[in-house]
Amino acid sequence: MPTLMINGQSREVNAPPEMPLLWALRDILNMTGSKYGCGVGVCGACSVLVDNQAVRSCLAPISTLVGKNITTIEGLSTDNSHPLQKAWIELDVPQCGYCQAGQIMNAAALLISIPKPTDEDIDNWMHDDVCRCGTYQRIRAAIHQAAGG
Amino acid sequence: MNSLTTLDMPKPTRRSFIIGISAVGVGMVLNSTLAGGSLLRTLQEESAQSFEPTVWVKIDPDGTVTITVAKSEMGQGIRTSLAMIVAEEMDADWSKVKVKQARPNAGNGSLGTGGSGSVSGSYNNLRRAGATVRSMMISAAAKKWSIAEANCTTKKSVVTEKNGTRQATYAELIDVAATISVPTNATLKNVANFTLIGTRQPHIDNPDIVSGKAIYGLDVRIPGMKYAVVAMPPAFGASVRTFDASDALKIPGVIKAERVPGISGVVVVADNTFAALQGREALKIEWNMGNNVSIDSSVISSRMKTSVGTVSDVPATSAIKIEAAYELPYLAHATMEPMNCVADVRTDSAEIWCPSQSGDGVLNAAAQATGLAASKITVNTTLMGGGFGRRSNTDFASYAARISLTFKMPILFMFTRADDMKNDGYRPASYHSFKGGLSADGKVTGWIQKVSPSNMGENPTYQVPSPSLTGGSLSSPVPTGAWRSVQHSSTVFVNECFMDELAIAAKADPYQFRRNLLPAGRLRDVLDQAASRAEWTKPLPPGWGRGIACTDSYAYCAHVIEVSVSDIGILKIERVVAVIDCGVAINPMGVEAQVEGACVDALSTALKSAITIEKGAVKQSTFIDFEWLRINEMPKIEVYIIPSTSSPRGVGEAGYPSVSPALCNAIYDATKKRIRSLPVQQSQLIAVDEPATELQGNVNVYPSPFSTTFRIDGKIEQPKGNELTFTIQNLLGSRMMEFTASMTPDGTFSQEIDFSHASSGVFFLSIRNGRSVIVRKVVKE
Repeated sequence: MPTLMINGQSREVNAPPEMPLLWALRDILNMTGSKYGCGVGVCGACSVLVDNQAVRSCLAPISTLVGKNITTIEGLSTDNSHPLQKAWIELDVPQCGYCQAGQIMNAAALLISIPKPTDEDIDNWMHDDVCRCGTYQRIRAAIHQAAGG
Repeated sequence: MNSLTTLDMPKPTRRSFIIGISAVGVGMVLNSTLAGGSLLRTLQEESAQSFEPTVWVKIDPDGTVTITVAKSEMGQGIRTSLAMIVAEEMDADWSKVKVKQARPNAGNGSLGTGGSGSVSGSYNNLRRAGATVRSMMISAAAKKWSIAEANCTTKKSVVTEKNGTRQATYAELIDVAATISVPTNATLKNVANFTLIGTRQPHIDNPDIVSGKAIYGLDVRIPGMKYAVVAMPPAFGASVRTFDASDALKIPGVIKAERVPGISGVVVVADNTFAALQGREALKIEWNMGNNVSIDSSVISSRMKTSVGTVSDVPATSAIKIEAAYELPYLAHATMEPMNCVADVRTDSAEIWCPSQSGDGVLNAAAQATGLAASKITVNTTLMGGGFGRRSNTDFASYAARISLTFKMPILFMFTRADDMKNDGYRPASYHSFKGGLSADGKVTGWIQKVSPSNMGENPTYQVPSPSLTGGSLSSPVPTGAWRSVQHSSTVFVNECFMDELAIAAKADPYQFRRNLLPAGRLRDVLDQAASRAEWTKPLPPGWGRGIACTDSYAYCAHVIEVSVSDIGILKIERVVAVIDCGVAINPMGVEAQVEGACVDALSTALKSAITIEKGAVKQSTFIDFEWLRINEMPKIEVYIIPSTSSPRGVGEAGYPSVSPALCNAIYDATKKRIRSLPVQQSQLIAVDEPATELQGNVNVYPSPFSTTFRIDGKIEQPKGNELTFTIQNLLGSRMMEFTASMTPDGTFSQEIDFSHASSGVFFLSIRNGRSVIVRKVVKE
């Protein structure tokens, strides 16, 4: 039974080691903030941070994550105080909102790697994430705002 | 805020004030403090039985105002905008407003959410609801203070005595308000005095969404719930012949792998989604493939053309006659959240949780699937991860109810992404054959269209003489349904492109040509505004083009799009200008979002996506082969809202129809190439005026698809110099990579290209030597 470090807490996960993190989070641990969109790593709705890198949780077996620090949307802040969350609310990024946890987690990884990203940096980093509602213009603005730019 | 929480008639908390307003203007008040329990009153002219409120307003002692809305949220911002309408007339403190979702069959009116009709259809009633509450609060304050009602004003949930010092919050007045007769004719505000409507308000659910707390259908978790998927038939009309579930049942966590009455496939139920999917993978199924395996897209296309047949002629007096045929593909909805539903069917009752545009439809579907009376079924509408019309269907609710009924356990049924894409109700494919005529001085003399299937045609919104529209029927096994802007997604495209063809044939400016065919009014105004905002007459750089289109679908909308097309046919969208007149814009921030989103939909479907049929089944399965625009392909969209005091119209779909014709008209302007089928193929874009010289030679690209790096090598004929320029662009023309490399004097070259930083998808690699170019498509996994 793998033990994972999720949002700073040690969690025993009663699941087979090959289970992708997404299903362990959603179905075993009842943490439903990370979303299922495609299951094959091409939409980004399930993105979480693993040791501060964005990872597609639908593809990552939990056995590969033991001993690593996993951050999900539920652990980004406890009170929506992360600059990305604040910017997302204020600039009204979400439409249906379903992909936005993944967008925010991927953007969080971007800001860790490039604290003041240019438009081109944002394009290069974020273009793997599908937003079916088409909120990209606002995602870009919100990342800039969160970066203090 | 809890997005999932739903209300029947709201349960009064101690001393809460609750009022329900129906379409015919009656009210009901409950107050738990009076007579030791609930007090229920109805107005004299209506009996309790006929009272069907469509909105509930509850004021709690702490000042929280809870507004129950009947329409469901799929990203169109309806929970925010409907609540804003009530709060406006109520003069409620917006910062203390919460929204709850109504349940069907509980006196909440129709829950059907579609046709961009939620705001326009509820506006008057919601205003009256808010005004009624405000009136009662004023009456309560006047009674409490023994002053005339005319001496009371309201603002932010507070009644203030004019020329006095007394103030009372709505919460402080709820006991007195409960003793007041509900007025039937509360005065509405003058639109000019709105203070909340017309302001920019972020969606009320944003805090839940960005923290991961928002509950969509797939996020519902109830005690004892299991997870169900279905091995779906591999073609339309296929069915299970035999199956062997023995391997599936060996997978740890798999509970059931069986047929379920009413479901065409094999159902797998497990402790978690992963086990359910593994179990499904392990099934051995032999299928009866049915009668449709010989059907593919070309067969459907031929059938449409045959069904249209010949088109009658425009008047013989026409000096110029043109004809053109357009063809559009099926489209999937591909909502980010695939179809799903939670059902808990018990012996004599059931509860359903469903992300649905049709709560009433879900209730009926569950009743039909279970045999239970609708009164025994509770339906909760969750947030939807996108809708676009797909969630007006209720197939997924039937699946969930049948599975729960059969296995006697609460289950979450879901489609995988591929299930969802292959089992949709698609935007219909269509074929449109046009003839048009012009007089010698460029006036339209005839407009004739034949279309298949017949429901996908519409006459133009312009004043053309005796337009003719006839249709042929189409036999196709592909199920169809409502897609964002329904038939307008196709009709406005073909009409606005053919109108452009007439303008060009008349040697007229496409904007002025349209303008001359429109009466003075709001549609012409948005067209004028779009041309003006886009600086229509300003010269463009070489290789650029500009296109225009407008529509009166749900609201008045016009687009001007500028594109550039390189000499090798690489398209780039340089500018998008959108103008909308939707009457009163309840929440301009939301209106802009809808116009931006509709534009992304339209560009995605114009440039990247189509559903094709192979062997009686949908070929596409995920966002790789049914692509949507990505952030790096996103042009800047400028949205202008025409100020208006007219009654609101719909905005969820209005921003779609005029985008793709404006785009293709711009492509024509840049290249003189007329696009008559979507999505646009790059090969269609090489400019007629300046044909690119194709580089001759032998070029190999491998592997394809590749994952991180690929190699390109070969030998070109008649090499100039010793350098080649390699450029990789995405489908929208964004330059992803460019470099030069050397070749031998005889033209031999070999180059390894590391393209690991790019996303999956299709890219164009061009190799240039002097003025000669060769283009190869490369696919990244």
